[in-house]
Amino acid sequence: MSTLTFQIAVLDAAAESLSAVAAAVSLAGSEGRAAISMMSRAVPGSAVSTHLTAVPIEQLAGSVSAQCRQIAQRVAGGAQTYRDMEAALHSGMVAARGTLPVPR
Amino acid sequence: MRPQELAAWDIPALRRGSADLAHVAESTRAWVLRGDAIGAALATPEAWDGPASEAALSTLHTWLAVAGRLNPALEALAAGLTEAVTWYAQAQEAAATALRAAADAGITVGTDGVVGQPPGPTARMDAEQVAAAAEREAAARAVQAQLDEAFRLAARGDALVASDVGVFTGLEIPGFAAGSTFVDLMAALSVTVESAGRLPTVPAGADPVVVAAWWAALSLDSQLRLAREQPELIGDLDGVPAWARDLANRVLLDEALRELSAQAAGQQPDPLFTPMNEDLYFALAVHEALAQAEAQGRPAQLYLFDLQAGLAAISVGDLDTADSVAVIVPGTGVDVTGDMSAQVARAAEVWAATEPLDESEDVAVLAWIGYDTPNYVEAASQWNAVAGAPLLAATVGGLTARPGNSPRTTIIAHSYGTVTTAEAGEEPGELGADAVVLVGSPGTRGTAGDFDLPDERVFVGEAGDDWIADTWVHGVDPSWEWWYGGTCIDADMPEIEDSDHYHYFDPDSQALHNMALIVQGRYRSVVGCDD
Repeated sequence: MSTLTFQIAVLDAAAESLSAVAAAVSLAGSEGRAAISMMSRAVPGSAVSTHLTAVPIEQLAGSVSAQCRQIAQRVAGGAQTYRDMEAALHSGMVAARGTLPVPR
Repeated sequence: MRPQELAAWDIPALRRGSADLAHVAESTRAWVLRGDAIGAALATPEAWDGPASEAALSTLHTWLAVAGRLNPALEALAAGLTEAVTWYAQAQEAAATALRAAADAGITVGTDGVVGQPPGPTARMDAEQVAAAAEREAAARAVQAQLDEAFRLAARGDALVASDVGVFTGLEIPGFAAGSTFVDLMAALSVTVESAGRLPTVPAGADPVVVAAWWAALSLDSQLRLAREQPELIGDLDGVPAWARDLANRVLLDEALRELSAQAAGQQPDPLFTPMNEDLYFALAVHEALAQAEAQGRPAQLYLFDLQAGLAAISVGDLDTADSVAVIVPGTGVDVTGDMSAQVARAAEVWAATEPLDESEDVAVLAWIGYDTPNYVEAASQWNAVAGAPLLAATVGGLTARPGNSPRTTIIAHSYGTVTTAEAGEEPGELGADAVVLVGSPGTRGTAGDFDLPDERVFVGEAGDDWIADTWVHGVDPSWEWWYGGTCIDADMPEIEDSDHYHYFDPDSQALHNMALIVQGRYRSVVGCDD
């Protein structure tokens, strides 16, 4: 495996993992909101219904998730740069092979 | 709280919710661990090296710091809730038992939790009646004691919940509302970033796509420092995300208000002439309009604040995350000091009209006074439109330069704004909007084809009583001449008394409804002139 191929693999994997974390965070936010909503309905009049509903858990998770997704996009951008470099190197080598004598 | 309500609490549902929240809290620890592992893999020089790597890693570390601080707060909340549930369960059981006993003994319990006292023994009662009366009294006392205990147990649960939510209150997280950004969350959690080193050079004047790519490659700390330390460069730089422009422009607005207010306070009142501090009025008007936009319950962003040029723009909705973005281009006589609030009100009306159509689609509407609109004398010339056209084109370019997912973009031009928009259509390159709406146009140059859009995406309309739209001052009336092209929309307003040039954005008007449909890309649902 060439260095570039290795780098692309690492960055692709990292971008994918970060995207997965972003999705998990977003899902957790929805679950948290649903949990708070369920609890609030279960015990009306209690502090759960009057105080806990003030915790903006879905918005928190949404913000954290969006930031994580942006980092994933940055890392994916890095992978793409290496991929472009690899393609350029490859086409350069092919071109060279066609014009230069093969060393013996 | 009524005892009957307490006795009817659904404890199994409370337990399920508590367990779900505990699971969410637990998962935050997993995010941090996973993020740490990803950071370690990326930090290997063989994997990724150079400025882009440093910027991404720095942002990831900031993200980890935020997630790391959220985790203990959430876990404390979940743990406290788990304990509170046991108190609530005992309270519910005690209240239910007390009410059953009261019912069995024929004792009444008030909604305030006070047990009705049965008649006590009297001299006329025989021994058996005296015993029965004493028994009822004792039963009532027992019920009251049990109810008091139920309320005491519930109060213990309440105290725990209030205290655990207080963990968040201490972090000021409840102030973190819908639309708050990651930067707001960082501030709420007191997460700071490294702020040393030289700031990157700002590519002022570059194409918005180039600016957007440059910005995306910066670390979060660089982005924050640029917005805070060089707001005059970032606040109007097309291609920079709206959150950063908003941050920069609010810094500029605060500075302007502070300095101009101090100047005004230091001025000696002239007995003959009271000097008007136009700049201060300008800043106050923006401040007021921004508060008005925030009062809509949606994120509001100060997208443009240029005191020297007399320009400003405020969004209703988050321009960075919206699926659909609309830009309202105003016409003659509109200036920031006198009309920013009215323009924000129009943006709010468009936004509100989109909501019933499709709640799942996020919309942001920009009240844009981003060019020098003509006064009523200048309105006869096209000079202001020609000068404003590149500014409008650059604004649209900046809004659509969002990396990853460009929003659907609509320009809604009114009156002389249609002249400016038509000129923008003739700017080099594509305008970049997905649709254009021209209402109340006093005539424009060119045809709908100049927007490089299909006719089905260029909408023209005018109200029957709009005499300004019939002046043809600047060229062809788009909603009159068939060869102009585009799609004629119903913008007549028979439902509005005195409908004329200034009522296209009135609530419940057909024009506004059509605009909302267009903003959301529902072009085929638009009510046409012949429908």
